[in-house]
Amino acid sequence: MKALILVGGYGTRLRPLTLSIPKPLVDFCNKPILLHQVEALAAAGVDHVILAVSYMSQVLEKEMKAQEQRLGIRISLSHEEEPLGTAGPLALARDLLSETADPFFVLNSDVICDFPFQAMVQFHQHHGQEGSILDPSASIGQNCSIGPNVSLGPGVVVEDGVCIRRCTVLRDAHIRSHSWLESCIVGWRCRVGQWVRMENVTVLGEDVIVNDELYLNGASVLPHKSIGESVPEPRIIM
Amino acid sequence: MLKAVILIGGPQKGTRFRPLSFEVPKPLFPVAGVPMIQHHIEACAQVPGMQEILLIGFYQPDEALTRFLEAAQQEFHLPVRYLQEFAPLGTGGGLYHFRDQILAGGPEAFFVLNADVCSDFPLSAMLDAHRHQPHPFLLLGTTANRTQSLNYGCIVENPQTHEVLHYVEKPSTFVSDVINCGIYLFSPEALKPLGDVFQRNQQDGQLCLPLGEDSSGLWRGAGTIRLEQDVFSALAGQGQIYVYLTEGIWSQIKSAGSALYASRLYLGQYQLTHPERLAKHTPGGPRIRGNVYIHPTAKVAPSAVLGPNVSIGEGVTVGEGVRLRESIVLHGATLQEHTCVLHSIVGWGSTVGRWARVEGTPNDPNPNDPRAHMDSESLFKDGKLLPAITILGCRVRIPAEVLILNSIVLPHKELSRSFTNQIIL
Repeated sequence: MKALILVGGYGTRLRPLTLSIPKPLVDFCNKPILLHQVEALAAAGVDHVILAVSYMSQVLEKEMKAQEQRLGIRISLSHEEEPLGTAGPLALARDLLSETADPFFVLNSDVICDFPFQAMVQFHQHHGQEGSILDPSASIGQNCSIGPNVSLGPGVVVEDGVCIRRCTVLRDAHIRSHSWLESCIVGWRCRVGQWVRMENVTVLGEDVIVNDELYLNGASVLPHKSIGESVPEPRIIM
Repeated sequence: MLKAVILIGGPQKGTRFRPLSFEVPKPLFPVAGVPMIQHHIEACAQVPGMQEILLIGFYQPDEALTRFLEAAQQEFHLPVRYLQEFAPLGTGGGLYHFRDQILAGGPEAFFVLNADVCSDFPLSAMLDAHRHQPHPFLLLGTTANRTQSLNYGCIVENPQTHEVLHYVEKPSTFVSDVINCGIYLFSPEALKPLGDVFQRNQQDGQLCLPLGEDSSGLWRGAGTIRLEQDVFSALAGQGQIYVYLTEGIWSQIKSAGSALYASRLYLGQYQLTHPERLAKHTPGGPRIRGNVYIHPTAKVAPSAVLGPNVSIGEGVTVGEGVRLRESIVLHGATLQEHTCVLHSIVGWGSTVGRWARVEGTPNDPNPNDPRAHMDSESLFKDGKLLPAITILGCRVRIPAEVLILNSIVLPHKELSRSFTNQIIL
């Protein structure tokens, strides 16, 4: 069977994270959204997935070609030169889709459905972490309080005395000692200083530095930014 | 032979110091680790020939005040007595009322100091200037920038003779950038003009009149004399009042914010005057940055990082991984692990839970302007609470992991969540 996943669009509402990578590749519980879907499709018997792409298509292509081998399915890209809406990509991929006469799945790339959750529940139970997912290469210091609902990606370093609740910390980020984070997303390779307090859906884009002793409340920080002052009220830091 | 009089005011004064002034009279509030007026007394005790220190005010003598007086007498080997006014008599009324006590023994001159100022007290220099050219009134003055001078008593001086030609208390437009520090040296002759004012007030039937010209609009009873308006303004330009200018540290202490700023000034002075009061980093001790005072009975974990401008009081507990900066922690308070306390005053016996953040906003004078002083500090502007130092009153309990930002918490309150920009009753 075949499946078409509509992966067009800039994912603007997931900025600043989507300034660095396309939305389908943003990690959700340490696995790109798109991969949750492709794995679920493969498990359901799909052997050919067509991605209708536009933004950052080369990055996507590279990632997904790697998965082809691993999952043993065929992955093709159908490239929109201009936004075609939700039905246009279907027409664009007509040739690929009509190779066989079977019915085919059509999915929006940003929909999470039951399958991933089931997988996650099994994963939690296996790891016993009260709803937290810690990559084995993440390291945690002493006297920390991690959880509930925290995911720490590969290479993440959490120093002594850190408290993290309901957060996603992406690959290679570094949280320095005695900080307190709740309901945040910390982007890839960020460095959060000592005694920092972050809460209320603060999102740090890629490679952001937060100086010691600051308070971030609902700050949306664009990539590569250095934050030297507290953000007491929600705002966007360009 | 010399004497000193410290004007300590009373409970009606110092309302801007609430809620801290609920627990202890403002003159006894610890600034840089010691009670506010101890800095005054230490300075007076160092002037050769100082015979006696008198405190004048209208607080009811309480345990704190009595204990302080006893301790001061023991430490400085000087009589330190409290003279209680029968009613609030203004900045000059008490001086006139207790004139016999002040003049007993025939002092050559006597210093008069307001309790709520922070200064390096150049008393010997003032004495030298006075002896060189004695006059009834010598005022200590300092410079302020033009806008801020409006918050203080302004002095127009003759630049050669240093006579005070005009004096205006809190003018509405710019008068002078020389301001009154609230520290004076009077000769015994100064009490005569005070007596004249007193007689005049009596004749005017002070009791019946509401106060037209008084900008504060306060009721004044018989016997009140305001030094600034009734004496300095009235006598300026008549060869009686002179000013001695200082470049040293000086600040008023009207609010918690200014108490923190004064703490910083005094802690800086300690480098020269009391280096033993400044904490140093020791192996197995906390990390110290800048000037920090730690009471010998306080327990501070080695992983804590303190300073600059931190004063830690008696019996305080500071837990592992605490960050404390620009703050005063009062007697018996506890800061649990990983807390972050910035620009705040933590009240007596209060507890701050783990990972909590207690933070205020400083309103310090512009550090790039050497003549800048604290602005007039109102609590509200346009109906909103102005960001200021966070104050936790006596025995306040802050739960773990919350944020208390730019807020004032009244005594004995147990909080259950975060607060920002609020007064919590």
